[in-house]
Amino acid sequence: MNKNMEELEAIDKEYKTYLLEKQKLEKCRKAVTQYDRKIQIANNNITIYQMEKNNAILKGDKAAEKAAQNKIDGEKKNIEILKNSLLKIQSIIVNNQNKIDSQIQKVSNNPEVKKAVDAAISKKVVRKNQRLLQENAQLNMIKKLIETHSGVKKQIVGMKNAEVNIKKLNDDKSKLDPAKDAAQIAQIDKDIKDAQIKYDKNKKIIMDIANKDNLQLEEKYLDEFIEGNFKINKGTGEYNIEASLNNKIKGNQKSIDNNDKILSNINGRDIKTKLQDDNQTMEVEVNERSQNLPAVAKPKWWQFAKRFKNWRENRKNPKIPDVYNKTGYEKDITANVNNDFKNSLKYDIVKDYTKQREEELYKNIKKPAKEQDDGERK
Amino acid sequence: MEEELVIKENELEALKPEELVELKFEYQELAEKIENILQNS
Repeated sequence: MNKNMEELEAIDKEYKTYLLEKQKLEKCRKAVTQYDRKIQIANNNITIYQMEKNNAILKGDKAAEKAAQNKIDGEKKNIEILKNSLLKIQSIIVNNQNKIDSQIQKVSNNPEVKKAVDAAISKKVVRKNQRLLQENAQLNMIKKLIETHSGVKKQIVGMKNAEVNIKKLNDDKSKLDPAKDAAQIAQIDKDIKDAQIKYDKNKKIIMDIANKDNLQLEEKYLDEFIEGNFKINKGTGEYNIEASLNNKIKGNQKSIDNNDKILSNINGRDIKTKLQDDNQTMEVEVNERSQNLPAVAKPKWWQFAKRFKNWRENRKNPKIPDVYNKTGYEKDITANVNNDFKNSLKYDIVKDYTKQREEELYKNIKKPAKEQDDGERK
Repeated sequence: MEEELVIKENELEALKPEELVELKFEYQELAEKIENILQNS
């Protein structure tokens, strides 16, 4: 194998490993999302069955009360099973994290690489802390709204019920066959629309109150909070909004503190990230530290594509030493270039790059045609 | 299914340091999400 092909093989090996690791990560993410979703639906069912139980108690209907309690117990068992599955995924994730850390440690034995790794970690940590601090500031606004307006808790529960209901309805819909169950699907679509209206209506009430109180609450943070996992009161079976908020705020603060420890270790002095000015100062400091270090960029698909493009350009334009017989040497080079091109087609990076280029070209061809088509219609 | 989620020995050697850092942070986010779910359940 010539040097050109060795180089391409190295890029391809790295590309394949990167894809493989990304796939594993995505599978972990998917598993966590699914268990989270199932736990949220089970929790929501408990709140519904608890209401059924309360109604049965009011009516003195012992049989209905027992039936509701059985359903609650069933959901509780279901949650325990889901939690155990989640714990298994957690242990895999911790194991994977340890392997990544140990590999980072290994490559950091080289002082130049260590500088680049520290710079990459610092940038990530500073950005993450900024995001978490911002999120906590927003969660504290929601907390303040709950404390000062008794109705807001009800609106949040309304949003949460609607949100879980939409999840449930979408799950039900995914199990149906459009060819056989058209009527059922139409009904579910209508129910989803109704639940979305309920969600938006409750959200608007909260946002209006926040505006009146001059709180700069952003909708996306409210949506993210509602989408998250809520704590259930064991006794009453109702959502515990305060505890859910506090757990999220505490969890974020724990991450911020851990990140500060990482930053302190890298910088060799105590660092405490704060929102706004202090944090901006820190970002400047981290950037200054990174100025003379090797460039660290985000490893994305286009970087592999760019490296393949560079490889291809270098392959096309080899430097020809004067000492060689120009004609004969050029002939050899051309033969090598053609062989290299043929051989390169077996690599994933080349296949994916070619596929993407084809799609881009196809899009470019289609685009003017569509524009022309739109013009004619006008 | 769980087997295919596990990073194998020496599998990470082909990756560049910045790719390792990227993965480290993505896993960290997931670990934090799980912690929050378990705390509330």
